[in-house]
Amino acid sequence: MLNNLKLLKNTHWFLVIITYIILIIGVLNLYSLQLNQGGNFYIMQSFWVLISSIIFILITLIDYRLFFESSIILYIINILMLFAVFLFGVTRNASTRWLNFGLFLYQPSESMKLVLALVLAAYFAKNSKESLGFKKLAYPFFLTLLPAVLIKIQPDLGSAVILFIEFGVLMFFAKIKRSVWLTLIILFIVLIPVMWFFVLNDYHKKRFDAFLNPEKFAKTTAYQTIQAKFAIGSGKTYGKGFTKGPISKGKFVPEQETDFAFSVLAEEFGFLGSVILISLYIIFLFLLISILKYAFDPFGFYLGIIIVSYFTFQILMNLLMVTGLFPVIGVPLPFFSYGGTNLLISMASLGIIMSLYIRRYFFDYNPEAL
Amino acid sequence: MYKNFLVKTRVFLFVIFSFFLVIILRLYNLQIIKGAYYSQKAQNNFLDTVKIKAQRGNIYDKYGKVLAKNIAQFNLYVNPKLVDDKTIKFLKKSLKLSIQEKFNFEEIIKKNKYNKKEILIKSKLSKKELSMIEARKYRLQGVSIVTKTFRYYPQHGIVAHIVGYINRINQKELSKRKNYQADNNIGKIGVENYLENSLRGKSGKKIVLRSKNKKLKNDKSLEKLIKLKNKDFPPVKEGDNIYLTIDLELQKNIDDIFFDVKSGAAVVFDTNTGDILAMYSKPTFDPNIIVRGKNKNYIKEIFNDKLQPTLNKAYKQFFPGSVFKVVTAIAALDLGIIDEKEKLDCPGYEMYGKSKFRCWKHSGHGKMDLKHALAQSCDVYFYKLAKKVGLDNINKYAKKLGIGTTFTDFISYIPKGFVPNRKWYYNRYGRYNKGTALNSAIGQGDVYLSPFKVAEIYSIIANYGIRKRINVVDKIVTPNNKVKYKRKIILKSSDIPTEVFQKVAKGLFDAVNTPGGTAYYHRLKNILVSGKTGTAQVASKRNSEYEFEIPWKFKHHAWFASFAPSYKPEIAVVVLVEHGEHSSLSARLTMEIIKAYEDLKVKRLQAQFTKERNKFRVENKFKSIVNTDAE
Repeated sequence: MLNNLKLLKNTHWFLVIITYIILIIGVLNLYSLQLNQGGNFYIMQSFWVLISSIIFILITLIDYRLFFESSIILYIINILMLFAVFLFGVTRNASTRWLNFGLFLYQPSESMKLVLALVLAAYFAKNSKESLGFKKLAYPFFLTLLPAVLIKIQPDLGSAVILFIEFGVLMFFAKIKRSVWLTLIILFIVLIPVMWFFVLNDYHKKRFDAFLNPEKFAKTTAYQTIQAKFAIGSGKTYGKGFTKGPISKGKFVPEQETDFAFSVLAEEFGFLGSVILISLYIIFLFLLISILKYAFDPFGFYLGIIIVSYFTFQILMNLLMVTGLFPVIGVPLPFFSYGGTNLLISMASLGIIMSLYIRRYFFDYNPEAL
Repeated sequence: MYKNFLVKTRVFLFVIFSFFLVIILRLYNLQIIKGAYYSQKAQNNFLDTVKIKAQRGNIYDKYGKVLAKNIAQFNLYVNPKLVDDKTIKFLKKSLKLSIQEKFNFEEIIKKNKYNKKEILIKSKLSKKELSMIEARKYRLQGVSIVTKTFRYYPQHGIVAHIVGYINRINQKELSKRKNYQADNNIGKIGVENYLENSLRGKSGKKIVLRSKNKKLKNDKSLEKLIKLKNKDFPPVKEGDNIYLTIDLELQKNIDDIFFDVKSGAAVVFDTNTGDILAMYSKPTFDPNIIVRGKNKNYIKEIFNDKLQPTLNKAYKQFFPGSVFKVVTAIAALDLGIIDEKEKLDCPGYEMYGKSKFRCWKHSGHGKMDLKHALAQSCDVYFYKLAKKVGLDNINKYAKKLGIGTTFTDFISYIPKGFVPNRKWYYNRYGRYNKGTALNSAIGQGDVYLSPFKVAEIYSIIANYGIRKRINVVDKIVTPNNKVKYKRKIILKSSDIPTEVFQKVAKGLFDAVNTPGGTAYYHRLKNILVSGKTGTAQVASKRNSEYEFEIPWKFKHHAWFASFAPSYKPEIAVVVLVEHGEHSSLSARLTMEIIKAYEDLKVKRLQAQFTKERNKFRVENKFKSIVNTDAE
């Protein structure tokens, strides 16, 4: 591994800088929130930034191809942790998501996103030569379904959906028989009503209803959305200034440190600040996608595309949710929201991409080889 | 494969960027187009519009003694979710609770551990408990004290009929009045009712900061905003305090004097000013119990009682009986039908057509003039006058003396008294029997007067024909101690010459002060009183079987109407004892009231003299000290 240290000079510095800018903005945002509402988000988050930075470097140094074989072990460990959550998890806000490790709370559903990405990428890479049919797709589907169900029980719909998004994105990029696509489209159309009646519970339906008619639920279900709208809207063009957002001061938007952290920024820095942050995210995603072309084996490519897709999904979903364009499902904004495990996994994922990038010179770059 | 990848990546990128575009457009809409709207709305997040109830004004008597006030009751509530063990320990120590209550208290908190609703632990905190909790307010968690104000009448039943009481507004009143909600209280009777508008004040609105955040509380820009917004609201106008003309001490004395009376009323007017000094009605009731509304049985009882405790008997109309004779006398004198020295014979009865009208003294009074007729209350004399005067003239003079009209400051909805005329009989019965004039002349037949009205007539006589407005309110004082209204003496002439009243007053004087007068037996030693007895028949003919034991409801009403002192009247007193059987009872009560009035006057004068003398002495002492120093 020490030999790999030399590789670090190949690091994509621009990507690292962009990531850390976002991280710093996020920490400052939490500082403002903490100043106004109390709590210890900002110190905790700084601590997590440090930890996850170490993880990021370590994973960058590790050759990502190691995960090709070991992914299934990580998967099994993570599934066991999900079961453990089911048995003796910590409950907050009516959902049981965390394992108490004494020093910190660990959220296995977050790491599952990465571990599933590893497992799926490994499987699709093994079968990258042929077009996949139903039989071959059943195994990865099961791999996705099991943790998704466990996470949905917690309940954490947002994370469960991300797992399926990963699977879906891989199907989109992998070679798959046409007959499978056709059946899937038909199934999808049939399954929507089934989903409505069996998978979504009243809590989600109410949220969906609240999304459609926010005024009707102004004091109950849609309260969060409406208050977030007030916060964002009152930022106007230039914002109220750092640490001066009264909405943030008044604790009106629930979950403002985690899923709704963006509303604090939007209030304090206005449209300008919001657009700058969004631009940073766009650059971030663009850089990630651009790295994908350096992937020199199917495993790396598939892994990269999954990681990119779930970053994309989280960023988009969170922004849509906070601006009231999508029903509230708990999705944090990567690198920005408060939350240790999420940050850790995000940085680890970034580490994998970086690990892929710094080894781009191992082989001659030959796109036709793929 | 790579080409394939590129195409797919482009699709992927396209989808991502279109979503980002949507988000940016949305932000543009929220922050720039609707920014002002949302920031306006966001401000309301912190602000609560709170309704501030105006305190109802107090009611005092003439000398500033409290007749009605608001008392605050402090109730302790605990929020079981927030309360901690330390607080519970403290509360258990400092509150006076029985062992059972202490046990229940803990049990309730345990049961509702996750309930946000506040629970009433103790109502009516004592001053000691309150101060103990207030002092530690910031250390105690989840404890709140809620104040509730009640209307309280410290005099209970004694002035209940004048002051009245408040109660929840009913549907009928609600539809008539603006600015009232269904849970508001409104004055139901008495002064509480007459002066509802000025007592109630005007409730206001206020914008307050909702958040308990300390930083926000110190935020100056928010403070400014709140001040600015509060400017738009009209300020709370507390209710005015009202000083009545009632003399509570006198009223209390009357309550004692009426100790053995079952049902009756007493009215005392100040003849010089027209003030109501006292107005008492028996039986009475405790308005506090009605206001609290908890003792349902008591409330039911007083509203269903046959003696009508909630009714002010001073306003209730009865046959006035002989008390009314003064009206007939005034009519006859003013019309010049008789001279006051003209003597008429009383054989004990008077024939009119075939019917025989009896005098109360069956043996007859013999020949007598007006003075004696009034003093001895001869019925036949007035029958004879009635024949000459006629019913219409009695009606006309009754009107001149104020019957049928009200002349008061705030008192309203009271009976105006009734004396019929011929037209009324024709309208009502289609015929007029001339005999009714005879009955009317002595206050029977269809003549109805309330003690209040009788007192008014006697004050007119005491003032030799000048009618004064009857006042119940001495002054109305705003909460800032500004006198908003002060009682004025308003006069009205009765268009009857003074001599007429002088002649009648002589008769009234003799009734008390000469032997043979109907109230001679009850005369006072020191004070000269002029008055007239009255025994009004209730049932026209009482069966002979009741001769020894007449049922209460068939007994006569006992009246006594008077003014005193005779030569320089100060007060007019009317006492009615319902079914008191004989007017001497009322005469006795009246004399006691007049005596009480005089005693009070003397007591007050003495108190004033002592005060002034002491003041003088202190000043002199001070002067002498100064002088010796100078030397």
